[in-house]
Amino acid sequence: MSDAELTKLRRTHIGFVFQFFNLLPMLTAAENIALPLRIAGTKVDAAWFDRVVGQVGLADRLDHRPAQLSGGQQQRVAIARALLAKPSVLFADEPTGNLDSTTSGEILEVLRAAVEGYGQTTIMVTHDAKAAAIADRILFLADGVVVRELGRSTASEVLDALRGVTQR
Amino acid sequence: MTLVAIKGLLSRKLRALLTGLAIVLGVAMVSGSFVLTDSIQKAFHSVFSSSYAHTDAVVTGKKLVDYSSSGNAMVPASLLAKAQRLPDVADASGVVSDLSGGVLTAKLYDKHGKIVNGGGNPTFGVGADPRATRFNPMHLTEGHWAAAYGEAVIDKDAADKYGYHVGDTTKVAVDSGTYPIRIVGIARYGNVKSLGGATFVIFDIPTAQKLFTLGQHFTAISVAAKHGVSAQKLVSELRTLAPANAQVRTGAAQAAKDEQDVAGFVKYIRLFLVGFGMVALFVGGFVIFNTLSITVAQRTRELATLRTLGASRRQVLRSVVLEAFVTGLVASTIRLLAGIALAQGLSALFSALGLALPEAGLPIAARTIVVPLLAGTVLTVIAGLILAVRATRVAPVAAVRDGSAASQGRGGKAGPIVAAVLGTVAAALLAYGFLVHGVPVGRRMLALGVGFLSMFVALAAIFSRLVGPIIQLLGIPFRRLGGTAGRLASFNAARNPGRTAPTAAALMVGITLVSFISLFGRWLHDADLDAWRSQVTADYVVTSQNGWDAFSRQAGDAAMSVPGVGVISHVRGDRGRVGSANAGINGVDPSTISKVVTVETTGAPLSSLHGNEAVLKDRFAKANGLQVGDTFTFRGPDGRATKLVAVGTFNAPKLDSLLSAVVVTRARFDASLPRPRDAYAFVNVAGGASDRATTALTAAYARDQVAKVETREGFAKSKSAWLLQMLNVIYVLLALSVIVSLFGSVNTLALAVFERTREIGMLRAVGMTRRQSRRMIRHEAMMTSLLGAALGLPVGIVLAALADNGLGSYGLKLSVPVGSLLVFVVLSLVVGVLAAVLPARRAGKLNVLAALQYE
Repeated sequence: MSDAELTKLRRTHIGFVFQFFNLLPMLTAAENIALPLRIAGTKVDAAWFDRVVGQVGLADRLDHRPAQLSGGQQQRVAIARALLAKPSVLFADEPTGNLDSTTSGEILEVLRAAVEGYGQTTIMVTHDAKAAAIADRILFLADGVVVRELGRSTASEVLDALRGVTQR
Repeated sequence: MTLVAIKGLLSRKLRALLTGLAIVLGVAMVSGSFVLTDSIQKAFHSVFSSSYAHTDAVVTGKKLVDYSSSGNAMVPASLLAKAQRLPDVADASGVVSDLSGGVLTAKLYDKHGKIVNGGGNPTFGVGADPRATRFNPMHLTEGHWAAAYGEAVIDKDAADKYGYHVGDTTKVAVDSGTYPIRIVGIARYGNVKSLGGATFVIFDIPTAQKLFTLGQHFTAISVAAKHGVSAQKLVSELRTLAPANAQVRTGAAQAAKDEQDVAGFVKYIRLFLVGFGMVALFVGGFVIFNTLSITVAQRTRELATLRTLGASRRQVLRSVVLEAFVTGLVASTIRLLAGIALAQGLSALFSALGLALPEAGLPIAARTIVVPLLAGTVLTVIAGLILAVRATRVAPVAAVRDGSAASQGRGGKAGPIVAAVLGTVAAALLAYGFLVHGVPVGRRMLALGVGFLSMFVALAAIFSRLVGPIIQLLGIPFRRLGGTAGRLASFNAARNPGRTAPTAAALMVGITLVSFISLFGRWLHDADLDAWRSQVTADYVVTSQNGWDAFSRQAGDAAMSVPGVGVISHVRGDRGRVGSANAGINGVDPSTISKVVTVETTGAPLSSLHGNEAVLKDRFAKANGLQVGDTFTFRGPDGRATKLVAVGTFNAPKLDSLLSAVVVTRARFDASLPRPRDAYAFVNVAGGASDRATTALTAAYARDQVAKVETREGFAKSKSAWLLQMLNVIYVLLALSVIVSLFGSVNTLALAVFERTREIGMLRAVGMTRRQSRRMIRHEAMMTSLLGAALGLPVGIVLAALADNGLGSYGLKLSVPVGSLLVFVVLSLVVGVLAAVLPARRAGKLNVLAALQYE
C-alpha cells in the first residue's frame, strides 16, 4: 500500500493510545480530541463528541492544555481522541505504563467501558497483569512469538501464566 | 570536556554545517570585497608605476580644477628644449596623455564603421615620441610606433577584440573631428592583465597636438637623469625652469599622485561593498545565535547529565564556547575560497552593469584573511558565550525529566531592559544622523550605521514578546486556507517565541534595508526625473554618447541638415574656480536659451546676457557671498583668469540642476576657456517632437556617432536612470543578507522538525498525510518570514521618511509604492517556502513507528 493509502487506513480504521500520551502541548483538551477528524477534514459529530467526552470523564477539563492536566487526565484525552473517529481497532501501547496504580485502574475502566458500551475492538500491549486482566483474550508473547493464550482471566491467573511463560 | 565538545560537534555535522554556511556567506562577502578592490587597486598601481618606470622627473601642468572637461594646464613645448640643455639631463621627451579621463579621448571605429566604446569605458588618445621609447609605458608587440600624420598604434586588447592587424586602416573620432588612420603597430600597457575595457590609440606628438588642438603644448615632459644624478636633484633643477602653472615631481611621486587621482574611488567601492558584507555578517550573527541556542536547548539533557557526572559549571561553559569557536573558525576558513569566488561574482556584477574595472590577478592581502576570520570567529564565540552562560544555569535535575520538549524561556528578563537601552541609543543616533544638519558626512554615516545596528538588536530583543500577537494576526489566512495543517503551523510558529523571533529578525534586517533603499531610491529618482523634466522645454536634447561627458561643439550642428529644425541651442560646459571654490560654468546662447531651458531668474534673465555678465546659481552665490552687481574672478582649468559681473541669479532645483554655478554667454565661454566643448545642445523642431522628426534626427547624429539625441522625456529618463542602476546594485548586494537569513530559517526549521519528531509521528499515526505534514512545516516557515516582513516593512518605510527629512526637503513626494511592497511580501513568502523545502521533506519522510519511539 502507498503512504497515502496507509494514512487513509489509519484515519478510518485505527485509533492509537500511547504510553507517553503524545498530546500537542499548544492545543486544549477539546482541540486535541478533535485533531484527527480536523486533519481528515471530517465534521465532528457533536452528540458523539459529548458522549465520548462524558464516557472518559473529561467534560469539565475540555478547555485545559495538557500541561494543566494530570497524567491520567492526559491519557483520557488520548483515549477520547482515539475513540472519536470510531475506529475499527484501537491500539493501546502500554497505556498505563506511565501512570500510578490508582490512575491506571481508572484508565483501564475507561478502556473496558468503550468495549462494553459500543463494542470497540481494542488491542492493548502491556507488561501489567492487572491491565491484561481486563481483556477478553490474552496472548502471551516471548521474543516476538505467541507462546500462550488465555480467555478472560483474573490478574493472579495472568501472573501465574506469565511465570510459567518466563520459566520456560 | 574538550573531547566531549569535539565529539559532540562531529556527531552533529549537518547542524554545524548549516551554522557554518551562514557565517561563510557573510564573511565571504567581506573578504570578496577586499580581494576585488585589491585587485583593482593593484591594476591601477601597475598602470601608473609602469607609466613612469624609466622617468626620473616629470613636469606637468598643475591641476587647478577637479573634473574639468578640458583637462589640466598644459606645459609649453619651448620648455622641452630648455630641459634638454640642462647638464644633468640624459634625455627628455614631451608627452600627450591624460589618464584621468574624458579630456584626451580618441574613439576607434570598428570594422563595421561603428564607434567602439561609445559609453562607459575610457578611450585614451595618447601622443608619444617614437624616438623616446624609454618614457613610453607601452611596449610594442608588433609593428612600429606611429611616426607620421595618419599613423597610429592601438592596444592589444582592442586589436584582438575588433580584429585589427598591422596595416589595417580605420577611423578615429576625436574632439576636433574624425580622422582616417593606418594601424602601424600594436602595443601592450605595462603588465596589466586587463584594462577593464579601456582602449588606447597612440599617435606621434605632432599628430596628437593637432588632433587635440593643443598648439605648441604637451600635457607633460618626461625627463631622465644622467647616471649618478639623483631624481631629487633633477627635480630641483627643473623647478627653476618651470612656469607658474606647471609643477615638477619625481617619476615615483607623479605615479603615486596619478594613482591617487584616478584610483581614489576604489576606496569608496571597498567601503560600499564591505558595508554590505557587514550587514550580511550581522544577519549571520542572528542565525548563529539562534542555531547555537537551539543546540544548547536540545542538549539540556546531555549537559545536565554531564553535570550529574561531576562536570563543573565552568567545564560545561568551556565546552559550549569551544564548540562555538571551532564552528566559527572552520566556517570562517572556508570563506577564503568562497570569498575569492565571490570576488569574481562581484566583478561580473560590475561589468554586467557596465562598470568594468581594470584588474590584476587576485591579490590576497593579509588583511583579507585576518579581518573576516576574526570577525566571523569572534561573532560566533560571543554568541556561544551568551548561550554558555545560559547553559550552565541548567539544573542537573533537568536530566531526569523527559527532555524532548525542553522548552525555552521567553527571552529572559534582560530582554526588555536591553531593548529599552539600545532602543534609546538607536533613536538618539538615528535622530542625530537623519535630522541634525551641518554634521560631517562621515560622522553622520557612522551615527546612522551604529544606530541601525542597535535598532535591530533592540527590536530583536523585544521581538520575542511580539511574536505571539503578530502570529495570531498573520496566521488568519493560514488557518483559514491551510486547514488543520495551517492551524498547527500557526501554533508551532508562536510556540517558541525565543526561537521564532531571531529567525524572523534575521529576515527583518534584510527586508528593512531593502524597503528603505527601495522607497528612498524611488523617491529620489522620481524627484530627479521631475527636476529634469521641469528644466527642459526643448523638443530634443543632444548629449554625448554616455550622457555625462562634454562633446565636441561641432557635433550638435548635425541637426542642421534635418528639415523642420528651427533652433539649435548649444550649451557649453566645463569647470573652473571662483576664489577657492570649484565652480561649474556654462556658456549659453542668449538669443535661444529661453526657448529651450526654463529657469526662474532674479535680476537679469539669461536671454539678456552679454559681454562679461554672468548669472549665478542661487545656492552658489549665497555660499560664496556673491551678490548681484558684484565683480568676481573666474579661473579656468588652465589657470586663465576672467573678470565677470554677476547680473542675476537663478533658482536651481535641489537635485540635479541642468545649469552650473556660473552661466555666461557662449562667446565669453569660448574666449575664456581652453578647448570649449558642449555639455548639451537643444533642438526645437517645427510642430514639436514627432516620431518622424525623432527618426530624422537620430539618423543625423548617428553619422559621426559622437553625440546622441533624445526627446525631452527620454533625456529626463536617462539622466535619472543612474539612480535606478544604483538601486539594482544595492538590491543584489542586499540579496546576500536575505540569503543568509534563508539559511537561518532552514536551520531553525530543521532543528524544530528534529525536535518534534515524536509529535510528527503521532500526527501521522492519527491520520495526517505526508502532504499535510509538509504543508504544516511550510506554513510555519512562511509565517516566520511574514513576521520578518511585518516588522521590516514598516520600519523601512519610517526610516525612508526620516531620511528624506534629513536630506532637507529635496521636494521628494512621499508615496508608498504598494506594488513594490507587495513584491517584498511575496519575496519573504518565497524565502519561507524555500527554507521549508528540506525540513518539510524530512518531516514527510519520517517513519511513523520509528518517530513514535524517538526520544
